[in-house]
Amino acid sequence: MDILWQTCLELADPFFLAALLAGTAWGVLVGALPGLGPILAISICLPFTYNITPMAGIAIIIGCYCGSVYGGSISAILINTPGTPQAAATTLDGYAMTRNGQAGIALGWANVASVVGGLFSCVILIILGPRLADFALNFGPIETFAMILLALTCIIGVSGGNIIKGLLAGIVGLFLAGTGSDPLFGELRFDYDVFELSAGFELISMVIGLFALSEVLYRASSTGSGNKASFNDAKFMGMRFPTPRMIWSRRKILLKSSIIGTAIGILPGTGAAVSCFISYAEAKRSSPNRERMGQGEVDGVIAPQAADNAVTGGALVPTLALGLPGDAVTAIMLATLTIQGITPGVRLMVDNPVVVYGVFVSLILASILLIPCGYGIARAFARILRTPEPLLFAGVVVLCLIGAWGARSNVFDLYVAFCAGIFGLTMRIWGMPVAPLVIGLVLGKQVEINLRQGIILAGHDWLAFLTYSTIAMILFGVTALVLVAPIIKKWIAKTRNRA
Amino acid sequence: MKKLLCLMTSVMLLAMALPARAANAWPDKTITLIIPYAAGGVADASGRLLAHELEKELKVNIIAKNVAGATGSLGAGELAKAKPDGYTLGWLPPGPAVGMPNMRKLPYSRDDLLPVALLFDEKFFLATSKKMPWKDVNGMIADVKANPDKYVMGSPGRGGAVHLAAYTALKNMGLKCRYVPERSNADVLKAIAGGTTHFHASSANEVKRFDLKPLVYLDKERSSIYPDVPTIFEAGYEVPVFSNWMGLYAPNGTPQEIIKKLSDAVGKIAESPEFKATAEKMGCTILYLPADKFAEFYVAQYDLYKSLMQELLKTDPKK
Repeated sequence: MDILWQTCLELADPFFLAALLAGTAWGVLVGALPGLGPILAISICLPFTYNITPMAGIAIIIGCYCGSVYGGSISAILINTPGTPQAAATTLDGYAMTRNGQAGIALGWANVASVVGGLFSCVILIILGPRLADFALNFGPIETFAMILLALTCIIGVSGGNIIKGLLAGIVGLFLAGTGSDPLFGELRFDYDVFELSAGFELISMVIGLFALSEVLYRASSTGSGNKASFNDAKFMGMRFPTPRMIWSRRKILLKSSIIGTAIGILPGTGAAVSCFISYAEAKRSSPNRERMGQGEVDGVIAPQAADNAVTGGALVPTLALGLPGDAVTAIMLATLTIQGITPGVRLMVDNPVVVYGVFVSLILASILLIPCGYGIARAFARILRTPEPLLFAGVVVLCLIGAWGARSNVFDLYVAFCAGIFGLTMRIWGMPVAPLVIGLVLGKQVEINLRQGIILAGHDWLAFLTYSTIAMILFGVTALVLVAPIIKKWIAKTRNRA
Repeated sequence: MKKLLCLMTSVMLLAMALPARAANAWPDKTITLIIPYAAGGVADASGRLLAHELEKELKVNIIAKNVAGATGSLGAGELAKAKPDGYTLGWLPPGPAVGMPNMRKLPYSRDDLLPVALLFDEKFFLATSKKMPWKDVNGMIADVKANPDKYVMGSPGRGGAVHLAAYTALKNMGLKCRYVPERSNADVLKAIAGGTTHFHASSANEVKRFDLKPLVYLDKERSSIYPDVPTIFEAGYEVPVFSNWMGLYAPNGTPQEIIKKLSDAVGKIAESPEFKATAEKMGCTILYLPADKFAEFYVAQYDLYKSLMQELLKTDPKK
C-alpha cells in the first residue's frame, strides 16, 4: 500500500503532470495530421526524455501514444484522410457523418469512445495484467495463425456490399505484403532486383497513398461536380459531445469494442489497425443499426475508436508483465526505460513497482486528458478547414509526403506513396473498397510467418496442425462458423419459405 | 610587380592552408548516425547512447537516424552510399556488416564499410526456459540425443550472430533440432516463454531479464556474471566463438584523420566512469578496439561467417 502512496507522491510533481499534458496534446496534434503517426510523435520526443526523470519520460511517451492513436480520427472524420493507419476504419462512417452535416457530433462520439476504450483497457491492465500475459503466452504460431485467419474473415464485413471486389482487394493486399524478404529465410520475392524492395512495402506510405493521396486526387478530379461536403460550412464550430444518456444507450457496443481492442492488444501478431477493422466488422454484424452503417451511423464511429484506444492498454500487458513489447511503440518505451537504467523484464513489478504504477496512472490520466486536448485541436482544425480547399489539400499532400518519408527515412517510400495514391484513385473509380486491401497488407506478413512456423512445429503434418491445441481448434471452428453461417441462414430461410 | 608576387604567394599559401583547415575543422556541423533498425531495439538503445556521449565529446549535434528494413541491410546500404566526409556514420551489429554480404548479393560489400571503433561485445549463453526439466548441460544432451528433432532452436533471422552461435553449438554437440526463425529477438523470447521454442543464444542481460536458464557459456572462459555456468569447451566440445559485437563505421573513403579522431573519441568515452555505469545498467559489455585493431577483427569475423555460410544456406528447416 505504501508503494501506491509513494507513487502518488512522486506523481504529484507538477512537472510530471505538465509532461503528461504536453505529451498528450502533442500526440493528438501529430496524430491528427495525416501522414504523421504515433511513432514519429514519440521519436521526436525521445531526446527530451533522456535528461528528465524516468517517470516524466514515461508520461510523455504514454501521453503521445494515447493522444496520437486518438488523433487520427479527427482528420479521418473531417477530411476522409486517416491521420494514422488505424483510423482508416473510422473514415467509413465518420466521413459519411460529416457529409450529412454531423461532423461535430461525430468528433464528439469519437472522443468519448476513445476515452472509454483507453480507460477500460487500463482497468484490465491493472487488475488482470500478469494473468493475461501468462495466458497470452499460450498463443504460439498456430494459435496466432488461427486468430489472424478469423480476422481475415472480417474483410467481408468491410467490403461495403460487393464481396467479390472486397476479396479481390484483400488478395491484392496479401500479395503486396508478400513482397520483399521471405520472413523466415530472407529469400527475396517480387523485388525485381530493386534493393529498396528487399524490405517490402512500408505500411504507412501505402496507407497514406491509398487513403490520403487518393482522396486528394479524387477531389481534384471531381471539382465542380458539387456533390461533396463543403468544409467551408459555417455550421462546423468544433466538437459537440454526446449527452450522458446517449452514451449510456450505446454502452453495449462501447464495451464490446473495448474488449476486442484490449484482447488484440494483449495477443501477439495483430495490432491496432486490425483491431479497428475487426471491431467495425463485429458492429456491422451485431448492431441494431447495422443497415445504416456505411452511411453515417454513430456505431460505425464508436466501434473502431474504442478498439483503437483499448489496444494501448492491451499492448502494455506483455510489456510490463514480461518485458516483451506488444508493438512498435511499447518497444520504444522499453528502450527508454533501458536507457534510464531501469531494466524491464519479468521482474519489473518486483524491482521497480513505482515505474509500473506510474505507467498505470499515466494511462488513466492521458485517457482523460483526451477530452480537453481533443476539443482544443478540433477547434483549431475547424479554423484550418476554412482555408480554401486547394490550399488545404496542398498542405495535406505536403504533410502526407513528410509522413511517408519519415517512416523509414527512405526516399523510395515517397514513390510508393505516389503510386499507391494513383492506385487508390483507380480503385475508387472502379468501386473497389480500399479497406480490405489495407487489411490484407497489414495481416499478410503475420499470416505467412505464423503459418510457416506452425508447419515446422507440427512436423509438416496437416492433421497435427489443425488439432495442435484447444485454443487453435476453437478459433478454427469459429472461423468456419462465421464463413458458413450466412449460407446456412439463407438455406434455412429458403426452406421455411417453401414450407 | 612585387605587389602582384606578394598577392599571388599569399593566395597560394591560403589555398594550401584551406584543405588542411577543412580537415582540422571537422566536425563543424551536425553528424548523422545511421541505426539500421527501428527505434526501440537493443541496437537502437545503445546507438542512441553512443550518439549522446559522442555529442559531448565532439561538441556537435549528432542525430540518430533509424533506417529499418531487411534485417539491417537497408541501413548498411545507405551508409555505404553516403558521402565519405565524416558527417555520416553507422552503428552496426555483425549481421548486416559481415553476415549478410556473405548470404546474398547486396549493393554494398565488405570493403564499402570502414570500421572506426568497436565498442560493445556480448558473448552468448545457450539458454532455455526455466520450465524445462534439464538440470544441466549433460542432462540436456542426453535428452536431445534420445529425441532427435523434438526440440526447437529459435533466432531472429538467418545469418546473424544469434543464429550462428546457437547453430554451431548444437551442431558441434551432435544434437539435431528443428529451427524456427522469428522476426525479432523479442519474438524468440516470447516463444521460449510460451514453450514452443527451447534453445536460444542469449546475452547475460537477457538471461537475467527474462528469467532463462543458461546451460553453457559459448566462450573460452567462464562468464563473470554467471560463474557457475560451465563453458562449452569445458563440457568437451569446441565451437568457433560468435558474439554480438557492435561498432561504429564510416563509408569507405572517409579521411584517415577523421577516423582517428572518432576512434580516439570513442576510446575516451569507453574509459569514462559514467559511461561504464550507464552501460552496465543497460546490460551492455564494453570492449573497445581502435580503428586499426577493429579493422583486423572485422576481416577475421568476415572470413569466419563466410566459412559457415555455405553450409548454413543449405539448412532446410525440415531438418
